[in-house]
Amino acid sequence: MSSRTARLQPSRPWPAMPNRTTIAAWCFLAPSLIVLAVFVFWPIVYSFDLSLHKWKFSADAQEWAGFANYARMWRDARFWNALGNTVYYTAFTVPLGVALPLALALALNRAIPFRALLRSAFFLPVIASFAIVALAWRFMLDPDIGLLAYWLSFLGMPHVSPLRDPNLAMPAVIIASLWKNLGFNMVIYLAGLQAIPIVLYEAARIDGANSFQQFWNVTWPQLRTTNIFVLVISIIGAFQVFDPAFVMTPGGGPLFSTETLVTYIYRQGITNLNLSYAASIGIFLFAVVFLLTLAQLRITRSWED
Amino acid sequence: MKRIAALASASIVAIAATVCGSAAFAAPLTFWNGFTGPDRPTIEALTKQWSDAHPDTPVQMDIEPWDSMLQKLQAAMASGSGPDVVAFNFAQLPRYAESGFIMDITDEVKAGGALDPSVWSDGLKQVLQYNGKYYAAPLNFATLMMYYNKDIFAKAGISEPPKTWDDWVAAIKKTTVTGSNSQYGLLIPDHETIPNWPILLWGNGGDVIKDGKPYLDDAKTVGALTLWGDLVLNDKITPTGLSGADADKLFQSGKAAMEITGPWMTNGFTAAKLNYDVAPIPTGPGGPVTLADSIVLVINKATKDPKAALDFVAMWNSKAAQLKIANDTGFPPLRTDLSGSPELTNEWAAKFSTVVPVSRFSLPNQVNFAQIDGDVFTPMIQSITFGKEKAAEAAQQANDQLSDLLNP
Amino acid sequence: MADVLDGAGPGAKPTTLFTTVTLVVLGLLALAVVFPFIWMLFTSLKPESEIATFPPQLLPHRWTFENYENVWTRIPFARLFLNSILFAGGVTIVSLLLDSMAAYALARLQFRGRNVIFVLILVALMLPFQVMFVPLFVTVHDLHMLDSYSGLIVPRATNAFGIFMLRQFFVTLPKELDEAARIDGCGEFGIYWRIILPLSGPAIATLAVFHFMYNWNDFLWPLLITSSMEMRTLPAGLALFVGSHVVEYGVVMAGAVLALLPLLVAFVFAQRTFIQGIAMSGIKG
Repeated sequence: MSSRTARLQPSRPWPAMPNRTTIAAWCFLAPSLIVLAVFVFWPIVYSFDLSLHKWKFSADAQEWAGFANYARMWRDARFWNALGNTVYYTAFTVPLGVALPLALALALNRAIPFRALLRSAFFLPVIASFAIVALAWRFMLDPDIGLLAYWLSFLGMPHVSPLRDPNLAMPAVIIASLWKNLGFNMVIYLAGLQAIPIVLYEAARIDGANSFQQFWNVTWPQLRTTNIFVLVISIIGAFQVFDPAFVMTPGGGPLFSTETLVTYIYRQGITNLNLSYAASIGIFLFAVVFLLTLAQLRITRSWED
Repeated sequence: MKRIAALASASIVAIAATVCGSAAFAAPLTFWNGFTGPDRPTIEALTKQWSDAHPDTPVQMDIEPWDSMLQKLQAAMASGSGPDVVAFNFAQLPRYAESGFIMDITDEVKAGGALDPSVWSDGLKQVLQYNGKYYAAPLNFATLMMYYNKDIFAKAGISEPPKTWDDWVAAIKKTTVTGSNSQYGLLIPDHETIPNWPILLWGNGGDVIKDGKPYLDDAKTVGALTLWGDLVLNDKITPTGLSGADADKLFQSGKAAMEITGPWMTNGFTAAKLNYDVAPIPTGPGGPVTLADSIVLVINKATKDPKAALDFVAMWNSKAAQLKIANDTGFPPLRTDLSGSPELTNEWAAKFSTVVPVSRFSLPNQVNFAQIDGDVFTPMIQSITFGKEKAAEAAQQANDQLSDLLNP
Repeated sequence: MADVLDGAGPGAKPTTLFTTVTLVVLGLLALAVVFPFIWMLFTSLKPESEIATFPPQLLPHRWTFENYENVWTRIPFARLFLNSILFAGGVTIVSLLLDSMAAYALARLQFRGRNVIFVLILVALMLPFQVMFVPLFVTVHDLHMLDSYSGLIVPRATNAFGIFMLRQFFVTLPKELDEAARIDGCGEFGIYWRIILPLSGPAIATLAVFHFMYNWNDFLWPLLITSSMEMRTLPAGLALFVGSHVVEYGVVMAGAVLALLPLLVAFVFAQRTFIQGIAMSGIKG
């Protein structure tokens, strides 16, 4: 890489800032922090408190339970099943949900015909309400009267009902989720690609770099902060998966094969009115996601940006 | 933030005032329910009628899906901002009665009053009470019947709907076609549905809970689970893992001979020009039986106007209201004194009211209804119908789980 | 896939063959992705009785607009639509401002406690809504904001996802920009407003679409916070066609098609900021 491009790299050490900067920073942050404190951090603290009580749906005061709700998780087979399903979902949706959108973004960032139309097509599932497209999917995938099953039967496909089969339900949920969210990360990558200064490519070409070298030496390093963002957000989102599982296979799916941690939280907290137990599973999930995110930020050295 | 809130609330008052006219200054009664779908117009009309007659306390209604309404209700009750009147399924009642958030209306339920218990069936009376006290009044009542496809019956040479289990099983097997052009004899949904399986248990003399004790390990219960489990697993009389909506679509498409469901499907099936009719569910060794269901009304203990709330709740029990509901929607009237009435002009309402005397509620008075149904019963059924466990094993296991969940 | 990896740089001119292959692959994939919407569109033009049939048909036998008429007449469509615009539009504007301000501080200003604040903001993404909604409801109730626009919008006035996303974009902008501006006597707000924001067009546009879309489609939040039809949004209105036992598929699909259109328009507009080469064109190293 030429010295000319290197000058644009945003990796310069920070100059010493006067105290004035600190004041300015807090002024910029204050509105957001106040909103988050009232509407996010307070509910988190409240939920943690709930998880330490033996909550009963009642007008009476709630009884203290210590860590009994957490101990209950240890013995609860449905909780372990939900954790396993969540990890299964995460293991597939995160790598595929990052790699496919990146490939699409790279392809659709170039001057090819119908570019705008193709981008809109891939983005269409993102803007639709999942609850409603799930009605459409469930209709089309119905093994007896669904259009897809009917058409596939002409190709000699066997009579399968993915959403009603304990072994196929989770793969079906994963595919539906990828379909729904493909365009989301694609657009983030497109925005990331747009932020790469053109001069870097010009400089690389002057240095005689071919297309692959341009990707490897310019695009990839320049996408670093976008990659970190997409990965961190994807993992946080995957661990909290609710919509795809809940709307495609309501009630936990056949034999609870698509019950995830958050659909189980819904079941416990909202259907069974067992709010304390739901809160303790929520806090457990919170702890897992927190540690994973911290590890990612540390590994990627995001502090130093 | 306060300023934004103040500004916004000022504009809302202005909007409300223009929308509702002078009504904005009366003290409205709030009423939450989940009557989305085709039932909504009837509920809206009756509510509006009451509001017009009571201009000082007009009813401000919130209709939204049951799921989100119940979710909101939980938080609203806990924060003291619940509505004056709520409608929900009878199965919710024990938890709310126990919570202390809703009003005991025992004193209002008396012969000759607006809430006269003598016109309610025994089953209904039972589910309106908790620990011997009335906490709710009914809004509607539904029974289930067997829908059958007349064309499929004719093709299979079945001249009339089966009356006994033996005939029924024979008809189901006869109308089941496996292979590429599949057809199902009897659709039995197992989740997200009006319960079907309890009817099959009762028909054999079995039950889920009997006399306050788990009853899944009873020989008759296991017998029913084995018989129907085999029909599902081996004879493929129904797809497994079916939801209620899946079953309705399948029956509507003409790919199934029979389905057990309530009066709400008649409009859709008729519009689809399906050649169908309904019949009582065939009688098994345990005698004739079907499932009853009811949406009930409860009053928030914190209501500012208990008198108006009671008056509004009682309205739904009037003959006029029940006749309108029955004739609009095809539901049988909850008043037994309207059964066979000439004013009952909806043919489906008349048909569904014939089975009211043999109808039973599933899991009445159980505080842990949701857990028993969702965490024990449904998994047991799926375990059997997916062939994961034998009926006896699954029933025994579920029976053990039940003991912790029953009312103390 | 080598073609796809073939640098995103402008001026990289791939051969016609590569372009054709890429185009065919992308076109087929796009068709598969869009297919459910084609089904939804045709289903919305069918009478209800033709929807669950065997054999299943893609095209209506009898074409009808009755489902669209139903959406219009059986729910207060105009009011719901207006509320959706106010809610989704309000959240988008306020949140873009607050998100970008916070992101600016985290990305461009060096101050004590910055990393702690950064992690704290990420923490806001980590507890599922299904756990938080009871305390959240109680808070909104205590602030007397239930059933109001402020109750709908204020809790969403900032968004940790948005702050994180913009922070990641802002850090990639060259530091020299700020230094030069400071030498010219520009204050922090001036740098944020006149330099950083204009250079982040694609990221801001993307986030705007995300915020608008997310709130436009959100069904549960408006239902929980509001309890009168005057305050409801479009998804809550469409839910009225989904009964506990009976779903009117045709009407729901018609409503979904109508609800999709504004978002599609918003996306097409936002897309214009992605035209290659605009970003950074004014800056020369």
